[in-house]
Amino acid sequence: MNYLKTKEHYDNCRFCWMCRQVCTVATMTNDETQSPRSRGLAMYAAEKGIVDLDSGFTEAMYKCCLCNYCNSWCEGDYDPQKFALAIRRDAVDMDIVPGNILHLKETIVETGNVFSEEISKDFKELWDTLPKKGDVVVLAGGVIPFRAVEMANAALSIFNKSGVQVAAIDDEITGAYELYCLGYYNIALETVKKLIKQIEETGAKTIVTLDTQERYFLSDLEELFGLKLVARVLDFSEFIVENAIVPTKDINKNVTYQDDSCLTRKCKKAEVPRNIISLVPGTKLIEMLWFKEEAHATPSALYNFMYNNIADKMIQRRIEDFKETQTEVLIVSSANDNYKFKQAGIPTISLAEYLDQAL
Amino acid sequence: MIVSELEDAVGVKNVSRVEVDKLAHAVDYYWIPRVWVDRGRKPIMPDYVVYPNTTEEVSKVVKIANYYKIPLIPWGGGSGSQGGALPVDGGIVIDMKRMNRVIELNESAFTVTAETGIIHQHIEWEINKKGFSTMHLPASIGCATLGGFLAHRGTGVLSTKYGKIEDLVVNLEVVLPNGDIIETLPVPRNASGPDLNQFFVGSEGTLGIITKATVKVFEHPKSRKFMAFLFKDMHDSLEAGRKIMNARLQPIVIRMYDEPETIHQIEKVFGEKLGEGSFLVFGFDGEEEIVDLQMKKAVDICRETAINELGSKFGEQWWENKYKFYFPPYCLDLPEAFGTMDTVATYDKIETIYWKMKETAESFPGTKFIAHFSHWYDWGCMMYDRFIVQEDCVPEDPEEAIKLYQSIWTSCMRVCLENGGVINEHHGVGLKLGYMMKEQYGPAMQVLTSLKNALDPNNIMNPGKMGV
Repeated sequence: MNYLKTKEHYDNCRFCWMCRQVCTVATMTNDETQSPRSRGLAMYAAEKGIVDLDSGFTEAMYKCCLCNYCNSWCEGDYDPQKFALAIRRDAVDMDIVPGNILHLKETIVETGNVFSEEISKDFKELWDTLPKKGDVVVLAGGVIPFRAVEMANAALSIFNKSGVQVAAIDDEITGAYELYCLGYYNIALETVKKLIKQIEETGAKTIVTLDTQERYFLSDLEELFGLKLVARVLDFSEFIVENAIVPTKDINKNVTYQDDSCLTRKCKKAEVPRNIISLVPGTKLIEMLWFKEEAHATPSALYNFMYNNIADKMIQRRIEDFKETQTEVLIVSSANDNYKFKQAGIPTISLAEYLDQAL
Repeated sequence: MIVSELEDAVGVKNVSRVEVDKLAHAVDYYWIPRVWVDRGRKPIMPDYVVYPNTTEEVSKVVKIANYYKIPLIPWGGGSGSQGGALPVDGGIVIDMKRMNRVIELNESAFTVTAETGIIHQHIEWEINKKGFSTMHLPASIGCATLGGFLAHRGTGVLSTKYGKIEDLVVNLEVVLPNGDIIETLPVPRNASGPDLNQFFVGSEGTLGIITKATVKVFEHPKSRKFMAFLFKDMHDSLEAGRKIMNARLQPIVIRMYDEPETIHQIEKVFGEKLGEGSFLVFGFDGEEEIVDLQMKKAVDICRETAINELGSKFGEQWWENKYKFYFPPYCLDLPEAFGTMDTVATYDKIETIYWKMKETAESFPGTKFIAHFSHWYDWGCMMYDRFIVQEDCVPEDPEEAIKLYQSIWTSCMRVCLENGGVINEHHGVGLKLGYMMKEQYGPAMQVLTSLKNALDPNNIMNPGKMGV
């Protein structure tokens, strides 16, 4: 069983309540079972044969939204996500995956994305303009082509204005991280190998991810899959800072920034987008009450399709956080945040679009 | 039949018989259920877990439990250390966490009213936005509920100035064991008979379920400062703490560690060697000029006998790390056996009690006794004393381990009582200490049992707890 490899984590979490107040799903659902302590206890009880690995058990483990808040809060650096992910893998092996998860996996395998859609025409046209080989390759990920083409547009506009040559992959393989999160390790592994092959064929020395989830996933390949990527991986914002692309036009606005779990908590890059925003003349950054590593989590696109009711509550809570700042604009880095906040009627703009306006 | 009635009361989705839900409500912070599960034994599970959303729904559930004479166990955060939330006879666990709304922050009366299923930290974060705090800041603030604190007379790290939860409570809404919903008087200072608030505060769900509470709040202080000293031994640091209290300097906190805990905990968390001795930290808050004066007076007291003035840096470091002690790997955990005996007594008795309890605990093989003194009053202080049985002296058989554990508890509690102490200051009684209540109270216990029998003749409310 895979979960036994995570014993150190659930052994330390099983009787520890210290992160309950920040656990996103426990807070959103008020459900004792959803706290990291209860999940750790259940894992230990399963190991000892006290409870069965049944559908109720796996459901509890799938509900974790993998926001990493518990781990970043923990003084001992224990990580409940590790056992939640490991048991999902075992659930797949044991064929006890909840029905909604099975359906979602089939969708991703079939279409490469959670939306069960073809890539938008706008995105395809945009991507077709890019060379297929180069030192710097941009990756769009699994959300931008379907829900946030404007982020890709803005990024390319910035590169164009700054004289940076970038290439892109034709029919970029997506869905590997989602499949990994759902416990389908073997399919995820095959999928990510295909993506790595695509990347290698471009000759890329640097990968620039336009969405934060890919930044986290690709820089953690060794831990997740034991795979290595020759090219280094940078988030769009890191690439901007590294290339000293500096905004010059005034944008006289009070703005706030939405930290997403991947870039901020998992990659620990909270400062990078802020550095860019702070350079925009006339722009004043006003932080939300919960920011950087303590930012309330928002759902991934995948989680929206796993547990929509919890995902909606997560977004609603963050909207309240935004409103309290009384700022005019919410700047985001994650494509799903960009889509969900806009959908909720919040004045939202991606960091790429904001920077593009300031160049 | 019972399930459908419960579902009718709180909604189908809010009644569970799923195994992992029952497991989550079958183990709290008490060492016994922990070792039981650790050794592969199945804990006693509730038959049902229900999640009410309103006081009226709580009332309906109570009436169902009363009609069928089924045990009803209130569950807040489940983080109590006394087994107070364990469903030892099965029955219905009523998880209060859906009732988690902050109802009103009264900025004129300096009170906040909230439902009792709210995690206390969430109240704090909500009222912090307006510049207020309940100043009830225990280590369990992030996992325990307001109801949990009220149910077992909890305390926080700043209690020395701001009071325990029973000092903070203004008014309560309670569902009685017959399902009636009552409110206590609007203010706690009156001459209309005994204080009803104090009947329910500390009653551990045995007399009813507290569903709503109004508690005091305070404005954030303009200044908060800390200092730390090292004394040659516990006697000298205890004396320094007593003098600070007797001088009525109003510290927010005095935390004094005996010599073993200074090494065992403080150095571990700070990652620095302090040298041999007893660590004492204290702090003041409020207007800066007053804080500075209070601090000067307290520092003068400590300088008389301290062997090392550690300064504000160590004081602030302690404040910053005050909850770190409770995270693994810094906290006590299995496979050791450990128990926290939050003993309280007057200043003239507390040191004797410390030594007698230490002697008693350490008479058990492989057992050490450490303590810090954390909640201070004009008349005495509370000793957060812990026994720790090293791993190889804890029997593998959980029943034998529990027997050993209980015999240490019983021996230490008897010594505490014989020497004029009270067995607990803020952790409550629960399952752990229920059997000591009659010994502690003597004939006075009939007041509590009569109250229990009158309000809950079917004994459905959290049976087996608090010794009633």
